[in-house]
Amino acid sequence: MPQCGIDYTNSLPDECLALIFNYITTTNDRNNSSLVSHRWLRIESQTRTSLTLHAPSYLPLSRIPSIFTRFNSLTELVLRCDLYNTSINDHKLSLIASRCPNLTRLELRMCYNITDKGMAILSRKCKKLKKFLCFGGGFKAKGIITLLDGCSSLEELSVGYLDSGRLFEPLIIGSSSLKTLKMTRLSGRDWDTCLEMIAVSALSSLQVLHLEKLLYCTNTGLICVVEHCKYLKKLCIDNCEWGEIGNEALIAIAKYCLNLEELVLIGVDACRISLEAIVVNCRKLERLDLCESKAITDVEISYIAEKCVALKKLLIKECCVSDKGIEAFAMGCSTLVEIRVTKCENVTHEVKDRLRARRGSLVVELDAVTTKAMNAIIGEVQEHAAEVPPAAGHVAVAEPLNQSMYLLDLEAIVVNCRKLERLDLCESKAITDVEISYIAEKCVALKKLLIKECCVSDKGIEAFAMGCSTLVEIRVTKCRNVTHEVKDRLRARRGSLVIELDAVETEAVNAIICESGAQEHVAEVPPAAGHVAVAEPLNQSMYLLDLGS
Amino acid sequence: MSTSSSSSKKIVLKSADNETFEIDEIVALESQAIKNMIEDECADNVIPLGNIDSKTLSKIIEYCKKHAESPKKDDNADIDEKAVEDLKSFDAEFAKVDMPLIQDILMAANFLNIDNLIGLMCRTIADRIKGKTPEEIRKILNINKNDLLSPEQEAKAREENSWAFD
Repeated sequence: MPQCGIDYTNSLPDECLALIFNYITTTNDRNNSSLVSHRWLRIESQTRTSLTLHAPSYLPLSRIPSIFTRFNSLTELVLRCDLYNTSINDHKLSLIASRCPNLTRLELRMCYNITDKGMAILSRKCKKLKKFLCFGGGFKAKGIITLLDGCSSLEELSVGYLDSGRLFEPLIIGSSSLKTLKMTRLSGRDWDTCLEMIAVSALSSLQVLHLEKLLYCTNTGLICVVEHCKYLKKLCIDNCEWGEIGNEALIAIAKYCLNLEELVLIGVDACRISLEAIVVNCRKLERLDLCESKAITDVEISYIAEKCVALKKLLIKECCVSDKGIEAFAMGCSTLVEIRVTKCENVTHEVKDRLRARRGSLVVELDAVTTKAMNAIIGEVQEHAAEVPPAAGHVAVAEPLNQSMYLLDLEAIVVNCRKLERLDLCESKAITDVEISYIAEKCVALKKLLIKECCVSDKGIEAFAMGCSTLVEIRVTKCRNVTHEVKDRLRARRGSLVIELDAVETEAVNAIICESGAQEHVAEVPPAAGHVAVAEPLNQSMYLLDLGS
Repeated sequence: MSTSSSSSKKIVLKSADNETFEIDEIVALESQAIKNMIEDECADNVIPLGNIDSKTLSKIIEYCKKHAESPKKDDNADIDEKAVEDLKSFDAEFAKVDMPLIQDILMAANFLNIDNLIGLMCRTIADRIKGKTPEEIRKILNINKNDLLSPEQEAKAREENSWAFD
């Protein structure tokens, strides 16, 4: 380009330049664009309507006015802190809120220094809020109620990971105008009473309700809600491990929620009768997700295929379903356009072909490829299993994909399965740098590799700097000896490779593990459980299991 | 396409360098500005476009022709996917021009009010600066050197940027 040439953007009116920024969506690109010139800085800032701000306590007070004067068109704001820093306090939140009067969506993540007082400030200064989301925070019921009172246009409330106590009784009374209510991992004691309150306050406008991993939430509470939420369109129930929501509640849903369009059931042991009631009564039901239930078998699935009248999308995940159940959709349920089946070990690819033959336009997604390939191996592994201790044998049956494999097995797979494009190796101590290096060296078609909770270090991952030229994506998660340095080294060699590591977290978690003495604890439990505890340090429920045993 | 009776009607556009282009009215109607002129009956037989040179204008006519021929999305819901794909690949090819011409087309499209073309040019510019450093962007677009931030201003903007993430 000539030094003295014309500025191509100079003659463009501001509104054209602003349009260009509409297509620049990543923060990194936006940040770089802002540094180009005075004009670009001004127009980039004016066109930024959503911002995710790092919000630790050390965010300087003096920075807040300059940031929010520059970005004066914000309608969506996320204030995000993390586990390792204390967050901004109410005072700083107040400064921010007074400069963002037009916010329609505010999300607070791990801002534990923001209290009820901060909520009161928001309710006065951000009157246009439509969506409020918080995941962890220092505020309680009172604060959220103040917010609901002050922001009359609030339509969506999502709360998770709060020290709720008896948070939701009063909260729900205040939220009669809400259309969306999502509650995740709240440890309230009186869920049933609380859900009855939803009923009493007649949340008639509620259209979307998520109840995810709520302790002590039972059928009784849920029935009260659904009796009154006639206009519910979307319902998601995610039972916690010892969750009690079941068929009684489902029958009530079938009876009252006649407008239901989407239903997601996770860990809900639905039986044939209750599922049938739902698909027959909820005649608008278009999407159904059935996940993580051993009670859902071919029988239940066949009934759905036979009876439902409007279903368009069906997801079946981790249920005891085989080809026979899936095949029922070859004939039944003419409205279905998409069926996805994942982590159901008895479903093979053959059923896909059979469905296709009958219904060419049906979108069928199975992850059976891996399952089938593994099935052959499972046969072998199960022979091994007879020789290994019972605990490991149990794993082999329940989670064939996670089974520890010997070097030979892995090599056999990567050498023989020449079309193998995706390989996930999870939760095995037997998979070490040696195995990973073999994969890097030998495999010929691999495109995606996931390594999770294996005994792998930077050394193993680095093998992909040279080997396995077909690889386009590698993800390593919860492997604590893998650091961020290996990412840079891979990048240096293979610029186009997509690399995802959660190594930052891992290091931090390491520190916590050592501090909390989890590893010492492991030494005291029986060997089999000890194995699990080491492999899954992040899984909280193990302590309960340990205690139980 | 519904007014096929007027397909024979011609419009003449005259560029800044006095070149004339005779096109079907249906092609000219892709421009909201010309459409308004015709509807308000203030368009003569020849429409002078004093700020658009002939090189740019011929590119714009090429674009309008192609898009006028393609079935419109709101005409019928189930237009065949092939036509959509065809138009997409046409747009992709069309955008493979150098930056001065892109800027001229964008300016002209803005003047003539052709929404799709404005969008296409803006997206093209955006695609070319994605993943680039500020200095690289300045080079690509030949940004006016008189408008650069001072070192202090740049440091301040950088510091503010560092608090924002995806």
